[in-house]
Amino acid sequence: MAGTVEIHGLTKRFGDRTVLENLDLSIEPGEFVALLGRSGSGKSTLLRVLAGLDSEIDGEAVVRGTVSVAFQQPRLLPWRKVWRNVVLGLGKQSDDRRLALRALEEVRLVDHADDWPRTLSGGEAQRLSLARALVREPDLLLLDEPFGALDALTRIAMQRLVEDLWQRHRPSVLLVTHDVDEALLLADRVLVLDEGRIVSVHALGHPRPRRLADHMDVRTKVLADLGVTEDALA
Amino acid sequence: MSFSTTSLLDHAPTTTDPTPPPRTRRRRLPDLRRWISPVALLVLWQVSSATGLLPPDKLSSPWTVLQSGVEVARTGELGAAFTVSLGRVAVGFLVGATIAVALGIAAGLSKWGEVLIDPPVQMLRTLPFLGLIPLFILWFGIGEEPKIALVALGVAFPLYLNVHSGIRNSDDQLIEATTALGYTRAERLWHVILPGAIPQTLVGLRLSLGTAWLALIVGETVNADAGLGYLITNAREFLRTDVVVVGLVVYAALGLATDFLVRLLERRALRWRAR
Repeated sequence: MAGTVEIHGLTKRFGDRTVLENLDLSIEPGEFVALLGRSGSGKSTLLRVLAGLDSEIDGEAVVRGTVSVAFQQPRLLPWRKVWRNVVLGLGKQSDDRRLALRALEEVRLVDHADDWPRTLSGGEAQRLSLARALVREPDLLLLDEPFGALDALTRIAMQRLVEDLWQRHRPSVLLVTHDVDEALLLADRVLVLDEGRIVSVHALGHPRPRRLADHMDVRTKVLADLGVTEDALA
Repeated sequence: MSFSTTSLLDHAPTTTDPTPPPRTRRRRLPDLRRWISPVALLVLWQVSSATGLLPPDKLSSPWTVLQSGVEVARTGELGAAFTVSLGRVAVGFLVGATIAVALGIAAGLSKWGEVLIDPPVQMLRTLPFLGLIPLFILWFGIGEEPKIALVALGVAFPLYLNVHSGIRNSDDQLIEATTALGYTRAERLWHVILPGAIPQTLVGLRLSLGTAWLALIVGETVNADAGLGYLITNAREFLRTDVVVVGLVVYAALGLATDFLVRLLERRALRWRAR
């Protein structure tokens, strides 16, 4: 079966700086992949390439089907009511309120359908951003540190929501994050990116919902790949 | 002590709080104390006039002004002047605004538009436009054209600058997000860039309407055979300071009225900004 994402020999340069170097990656339909890496490792660049926001690349990056992105900032149009921000995801001049309400129902925002985005809290705005991404029924959902700007409690709720929505809709997911625990809780496969190369891949077979305690061994390895050793933690 | 504690809590960041701030429409009672000094000044003016301290050929008493106002309104003189002046501002504004919006959008959207349009506009902007009256009289004569041109010029600059910067400062993150959703350039323009420029444009609109009245007053006072400015200069010939003040009051009222209209428009167009 063909993967939702097929990347072969992807190289991306900004001037004489190489951000992604000869990268190979494929993501199966319905697979949840987390991409870990320190700042500047190239993970956001990879996501932008897959989102179609950056097409000046060498090599091959093919995405089969519809792509949706949820960014770190919710990026809502403040002059459109909440439900109209959802149908933005359907493209063109869609006015399908019924679809919007269904998507809002899934992220538990249906009561805010007729509010202005500015009245939403940070977590609510991020849920709206997710609804806008999911209403497209994407084959590939790209998440660019979508919980990075949220407080710790809201973040836990959001992680559960994302897992729940993924299990219901089964898109392929690429989650870019620098939160190791988040990656271990959510992903089928964890990739570590460093200086534009994938330096390690960890498959996680644990049943869901996951408990952190079940994969402390992988956690240690991933942290080591990221340059954080037990000594440094002690 | 308890007061400071409450106010601290009120201002605590509430990112986790899912309830939006309550939407109460506060209509504060006007503070009547603020009327004390204006009324006192008015009384002082009336008393000065009544005692002869302020001769009527310098400034008529408020009461006389009121009576003259009623008088010129009844003869239809005021109504006719009002209509003529309002017409000049309307036409001048339309001409100036059309040019400003067209140039502002062109300069805001395209690199070449920016390069070709912005430099001359920025240079001309530094000219005191009211100083152009002598040239305008030479070019357009003393009919309606120089007055309308003056208003149009006064309107065009503030509006151009604000439309231009409103478009230039559109949110790159929103543009990127809609690009990822598959929006074409034209769709992004219509759904993201132009709506995003509206707040700044409305600022420019208010500024330009203020300038429009100023330009009209100057244009009409320098030379006119109809309109509010004519009413005022004509009254001056006969030392009718009461009618001069009536004209000034009407100018002020018109300025306030247009400003009020823009505020109304702002409240309607920027509802999404309210919290």
